[in-house]
Amino acid sequence: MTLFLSAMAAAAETGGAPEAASGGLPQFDPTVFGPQVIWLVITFAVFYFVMAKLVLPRIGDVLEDREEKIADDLDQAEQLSQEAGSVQDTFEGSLTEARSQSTQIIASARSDAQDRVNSELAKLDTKLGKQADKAEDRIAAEKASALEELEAVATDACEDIIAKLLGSPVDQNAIRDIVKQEISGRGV
Amino acid sequence: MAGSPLDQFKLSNKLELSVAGFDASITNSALWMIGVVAVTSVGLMWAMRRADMVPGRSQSMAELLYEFVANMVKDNIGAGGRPFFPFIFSLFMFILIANLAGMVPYGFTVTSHLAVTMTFAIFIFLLVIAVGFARHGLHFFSLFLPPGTPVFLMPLIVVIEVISFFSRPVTLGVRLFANMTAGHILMKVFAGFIISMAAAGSFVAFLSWLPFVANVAVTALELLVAAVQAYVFALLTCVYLNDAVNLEH
Repeated sequence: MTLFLSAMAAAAETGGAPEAASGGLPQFDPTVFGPQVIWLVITFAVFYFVMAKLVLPRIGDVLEDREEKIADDLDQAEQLSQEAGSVQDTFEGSLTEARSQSTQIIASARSDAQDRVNSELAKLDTKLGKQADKAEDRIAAEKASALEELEAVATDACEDIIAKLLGSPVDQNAIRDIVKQEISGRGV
Repeated sequence: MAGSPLDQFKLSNKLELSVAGFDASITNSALWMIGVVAVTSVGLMWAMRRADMVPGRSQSMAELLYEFVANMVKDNIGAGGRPFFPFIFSLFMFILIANLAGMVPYGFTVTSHLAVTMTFAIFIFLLVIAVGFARHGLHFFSLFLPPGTPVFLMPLIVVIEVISFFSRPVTLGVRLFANMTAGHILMKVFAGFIISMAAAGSFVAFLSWLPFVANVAVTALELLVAAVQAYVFALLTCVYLNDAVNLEH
């Protein structure tokens, strides 16, 4: 600071000599006060008027409008988000309803299918049972006829054998009884 | 051409004028005031020519300045400061643009003159007093006695507060004047060093880049000072008006 002041003083001394008769800062010359004050008052009054009446209301209006617009937009967004929330609620409600409905449908379909399977199985059972019975009957008949045939063959054979051995005819009925007894005794 | 570093502060009459016996000559200072007012007014109106909902670059700057000053007024005076906002804004813009205009080469710094800064300071001082009495009547005198002062300190505190109050316009006006004057003298002195050292020849001429570098730095500093002093002036005006509007302390 002192350096600066001395430099300032030196500069003032060296340079100011030819023209500055008063010396020192021109700011301290009272004769320059008047015009400056008058023109400052005039220009600043005009400036104040322009700012207060033209510029500042314009900027203020724009800022206010923007604030309002932003507030409005925020309100609208809030409203829309509420609407979206209610739509989501109803959507979720219908979704759960549809889900329960679908499980119901699946369950009933499953039970229907089960019933049908059961009835088909029962039908098949009876059909197969009938067939088996029929087959058993046939087997029994075959068996009986085979046994009868066997009886007849065996009786004939025995008769022939006995006739050959004894050389005389034998009572056919007696032989048949014996054969019958033998066959049934063996549990054929 | 190479005159004193103080020549930049000289006023020269461009048009002799006298109104009701007063010297109202149009000087270079008056021309720069008119220029500052015209450029700032036209610039701001041009920036707000469309007043878009979504601002462009120039409109953003205008809005930025508006909100900067509006927040300053709101933070320091509160809701009661609303009527003073146009004045504070005009004051801030006038001083800011005048300070910056002084940085233009061959420019004249309106705010480097005591007559200008003291006119502002005294007007603000009178405004504070007027607002204070209009709002609080004689109760405004309680400004000189902060609440909670011990009784035995009262005479001393009142004297200190009165001195502090009446020194406000002096400090307010001198601060801006001194800052602008000192900075501009410094720039001219360094600029003079560049020329005189270069002209001296030999080794000294070789070192003439030193004041040049210094002057670049001082120029940057002065741009900062130009903005800061405008801010300080407007801020202190808000603080002083706050005393008058909200008499609380």
